[in-house]
Amino acid sequence: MKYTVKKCITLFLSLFLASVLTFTAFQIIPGDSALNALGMDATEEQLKAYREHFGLNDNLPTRYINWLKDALKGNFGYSSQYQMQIKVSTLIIDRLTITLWLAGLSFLLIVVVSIPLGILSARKKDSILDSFITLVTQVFMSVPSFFLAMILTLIFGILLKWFTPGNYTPLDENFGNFLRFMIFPAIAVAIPKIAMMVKFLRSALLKEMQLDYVRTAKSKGMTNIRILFQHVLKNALIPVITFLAMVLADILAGTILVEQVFNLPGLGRLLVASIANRDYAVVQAIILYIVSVVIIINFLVDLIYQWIDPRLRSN
Amino acid sequence: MLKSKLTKALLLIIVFTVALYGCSGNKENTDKSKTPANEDSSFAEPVEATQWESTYGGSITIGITQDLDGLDPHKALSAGTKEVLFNIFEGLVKFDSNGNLIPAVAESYQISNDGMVYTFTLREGVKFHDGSPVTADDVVYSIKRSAGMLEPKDPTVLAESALSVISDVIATSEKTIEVRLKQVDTELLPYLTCAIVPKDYDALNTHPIGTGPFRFVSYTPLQSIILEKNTEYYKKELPYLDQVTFKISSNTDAAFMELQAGTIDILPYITDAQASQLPEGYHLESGPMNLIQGLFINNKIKPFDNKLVRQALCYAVDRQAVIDMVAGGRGNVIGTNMYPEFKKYYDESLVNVYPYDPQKAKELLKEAGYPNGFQFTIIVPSNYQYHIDTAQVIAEQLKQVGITAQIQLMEWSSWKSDVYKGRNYETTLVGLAAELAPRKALDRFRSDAANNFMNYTNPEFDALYKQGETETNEEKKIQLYKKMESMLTNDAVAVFIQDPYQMTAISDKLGGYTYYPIYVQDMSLVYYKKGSQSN
Repeated sequence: MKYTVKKCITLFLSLFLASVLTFTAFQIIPGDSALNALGMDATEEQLKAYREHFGLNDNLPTRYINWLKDALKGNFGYSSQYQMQIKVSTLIIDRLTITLWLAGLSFLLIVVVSIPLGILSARKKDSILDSFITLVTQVFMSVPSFFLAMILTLIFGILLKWFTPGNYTPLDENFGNFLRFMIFPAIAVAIPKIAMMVKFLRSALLKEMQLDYVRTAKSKGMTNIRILFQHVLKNALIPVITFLAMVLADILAGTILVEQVFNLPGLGRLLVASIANRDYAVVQAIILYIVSVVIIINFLVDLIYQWIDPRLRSN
Repeated sequence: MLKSKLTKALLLIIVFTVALYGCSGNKENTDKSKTPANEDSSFAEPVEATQWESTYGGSITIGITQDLDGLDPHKALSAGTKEVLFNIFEGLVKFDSNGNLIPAVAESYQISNDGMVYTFTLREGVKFHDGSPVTADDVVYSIKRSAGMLEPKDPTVLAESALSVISDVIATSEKTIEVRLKQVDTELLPYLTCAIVPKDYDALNTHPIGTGPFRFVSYTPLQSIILEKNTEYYKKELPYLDQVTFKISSNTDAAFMELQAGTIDILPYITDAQASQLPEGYHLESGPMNLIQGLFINNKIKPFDNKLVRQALCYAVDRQAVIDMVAGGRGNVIGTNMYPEFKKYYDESLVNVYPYDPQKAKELLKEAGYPNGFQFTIIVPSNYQYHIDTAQVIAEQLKQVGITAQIQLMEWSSWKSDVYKGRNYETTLVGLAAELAPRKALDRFRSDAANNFMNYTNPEFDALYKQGETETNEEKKIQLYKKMESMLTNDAVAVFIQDPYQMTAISDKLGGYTYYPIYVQDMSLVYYKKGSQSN
């Protein structure tokens, strides 16, 4: 209980610090949001009126507190790149659905593909199959997902015509078409992570299999398969969960480049557009989301640890 | 052990061969797909509208690479947004494709003899997209809103500075409107193209209503904006198409990929490299962009405060070579700061003031006290590849006369505040987009102009400009403008390079795509050619 409380306090402290940092960072970056909104040839008067109207003249702490007050109520203000006509929250929630689907699909792929492959590779250590898997993972690990995205588009979109590049169908329009399109970006995101995951799981299992208890189990007459699934896998799980959590945080935080290549109107594209337009309200909200995802997932992982391994609780 | 190593090596070789083959195969493909349109220096002539028989109906998708910054025509700022909104909204008058003003919501207008009062008569039977007729009150409201004259002031309305000359707008009857001026202004009319919207309608930013050839259907940020035919448009024969979708892509590469896949029918502003890779079923059309691309100089900073140095730069740059290298020869050399499409006002002879002459440049540098050249920085906004390429060619050319130019890329937002507003730079290479009236091209060179980012000061120029503002005789005005233009050229305010061409990829099934001297994507003239309509 004490452990959970301690972790909760750390969680809120980190969130607070992150919000202060993001807020300050965007005050330092050069560029003027009033100038962006009103155009290069706006007069000083127009700029002044605009800054006054949107409270850009207040000092930093006042603005931060005002922003925090509203943010806690779920109000992140209006987007300046859309001339203050669209709410930041609406803008983000619409994009977030797409990014969440993409993240969910690729995470599913990662888990479903990499865990069996990792186990297989560890079990058949040093066989041709193992070398093959190791080689392929090595190659795919070093290919960035945006490049894979381009290759996938070229092969499956333009040459084989399995899907039409850019022909993204919104979720509420046709779920089947939506899924058919989303599967390709999901694969592009998943492949490098699958490769890493396989390699990681393999070495975790192999390391575990060298420990004494495995030999004991073996001498007691247990089959290799039973040892693997009953003892080794469970013990190798902790580092794997940490790794999976990092992967999840990574893909939830925006698969920015893949979204650009597939022309998906997700969070990553919104972030890039917002930074270019000095749309502070949107950028702050997105960064805060990303930071929160990372911090909260880590928090959850900490909780899961002690649930899996009671020894951690006493420490 | 050895065996597994061998297998590894073999597999590695196989993988790499496949990867390499993939690369080379791709290259071959692009070479093969070179179309006749790519043959250098042969401009694709705009297809004449009469050449094909037009049909009604059908829907098309146009690729755009910039999201709209709003749907309210009086709040939108970016040129990319105005291009799209041109299809939904109209003003009292409207531009045609030759840059002439033609009556739109107004049927006719009269200007009083002293030039102080414009009287507009509304066209009979013009309706907003919601079916309600356009009244004089709507017009008064719209002009006042656009000019920032409504109280209380809305700071997000981008008041058009050119309309500030208006003292009052009055509806004198149900069908007539009087626009009264504070002082004579012969270049007001182009700005009365400002959109006419329904009075006190407060949902312009979510569901815009105008009088244009297309009606608004839906808009999803970062995705698309969909328009449909306005069946009650006052020109009975327009538009041809039933539905138009502007699809928003993250960048030109992604958009071009969609074009290759066939999901986009028209893609404006493609690059020279893309133009040479057009897939089958598409052709290229091109026209002048009406943009002044130049190496703009901070006239207050050493060594550029010396006119001889600036002139040396002009002689040292081979502008035709720049166009050939960067744009495959598509572009027109310019010699001064005037948009070439304002043909009456544009002085073409100024192109030849500074021919390419590195010897002359060296002499001038010697005279100015820089016999061994000097070093300076060209700042280029990092999001404009075209300008970056141009800067690189120019930097090479300047080496010939001993000048070392360093290129510094700057993020667009920073460029706006540091270079354009802050004037903290030596030279910068950008394009100045055309405005609606010729005077705007000269306006920024007034000594006290807020947008005089080149820091040009010349009392003689200021005096001529003042004279030009109130000159009502067109002949005299043209003379004044040309005098100012030659002043800018002779003072070598900047190295004026070219008016680049814009290139558009268009499906072979479509006809009627028309270039305007202003930023516009007019979809009302586009049609499916007879016998080619697929849907």
